[in-house]
Amino acid sequence: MKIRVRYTTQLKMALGVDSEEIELPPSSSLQDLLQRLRQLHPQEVHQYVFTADDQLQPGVLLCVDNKHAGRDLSTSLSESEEVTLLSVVSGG
Amino acid sequence: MANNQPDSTDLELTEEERATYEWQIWVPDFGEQGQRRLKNASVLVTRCGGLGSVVAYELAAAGIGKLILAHGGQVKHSDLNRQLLMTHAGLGKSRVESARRRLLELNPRLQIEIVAENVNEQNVQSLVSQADVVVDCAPLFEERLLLNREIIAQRKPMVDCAMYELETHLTTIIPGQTPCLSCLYPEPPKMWRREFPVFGAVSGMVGCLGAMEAIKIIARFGETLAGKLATCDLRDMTFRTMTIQQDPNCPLCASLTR
Ligand SMILES: [Zn+2]
Repeated sequence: MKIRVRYTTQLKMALGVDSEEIELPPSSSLQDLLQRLRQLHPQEVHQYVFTADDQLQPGVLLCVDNKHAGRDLSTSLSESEEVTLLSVVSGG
Repeated sequence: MANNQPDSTDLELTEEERATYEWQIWVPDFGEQGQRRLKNASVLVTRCGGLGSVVAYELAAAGIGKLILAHGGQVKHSDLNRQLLMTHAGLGKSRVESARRRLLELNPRLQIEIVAENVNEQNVQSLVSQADVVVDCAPLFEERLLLNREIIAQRKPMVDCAMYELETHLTTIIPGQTPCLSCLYPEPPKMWRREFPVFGAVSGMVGCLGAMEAIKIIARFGETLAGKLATCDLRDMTFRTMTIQQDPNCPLCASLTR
């Protein structure tokens, strides 16, 4: 199935693209998607998405079709859903 | 100002205020009552930088009764692309003094309390206690999480504004009803840098949106971003609103909604 992944702020800047389409086996989860992204962009995903012990970094919000998915990566995805990786930002 | 509290009846509008705010008093659902609510309300704006300058300026223009401004330091050259209450003539001088002068030029009726330091453990309780609504415009996550902790403790609404490059994030936290900042990011993200790329037009835009959120909360009309995160990317003019969820294990706010 195809999933559209959108990147924001620091991660978008590091990757140089604001979105891309990722092909995944049917009934893949958010965790599967992140692992696929890690294969595609090891350095950026290491820096901006995961912690050293493989947890989601505290500054990343995952949204599926504009709904916050919380920190449960077992959420399963469906064809043509859009996943946004929001890297949180601040004021100044 | 919680929505279930009785309306404040202490200060009526003067003829000068009716004339000054005529165009917004025409706004349906706002009217004279909304204007009175603004006049009788206090807002804490933490830091008057790119975001907070514009939040404070719009609230002063709208006729808020009192602003409490907390921001340390002196005006620097690199402030002037976005910190619109600071001026070239104010370089090297106190930021909050500059902010006070500019705000009073616009609205001499405004009550302003300035604190020449950023929010910290020592002042946060007192600053939040003086406000009906908090608008968080601080750049450090430690500062934002401290404010978040305090607004939960005091059950005060907080509008949270943020930006990076051409992107902005905005949400409104109502303790007991919405997720809080700790639900979204339980600790300061390690990758965040204190200084980052941004235009003044970007901070100004989200500052205006943040001011409008505060006005709606105080005047009790319209629909706020409670439980939602609005994101804008001005590079391609993408505007989205995400629904956000409470962390059922949030140490700060989970017990309020059980
Ligand atoms: Zn929370």
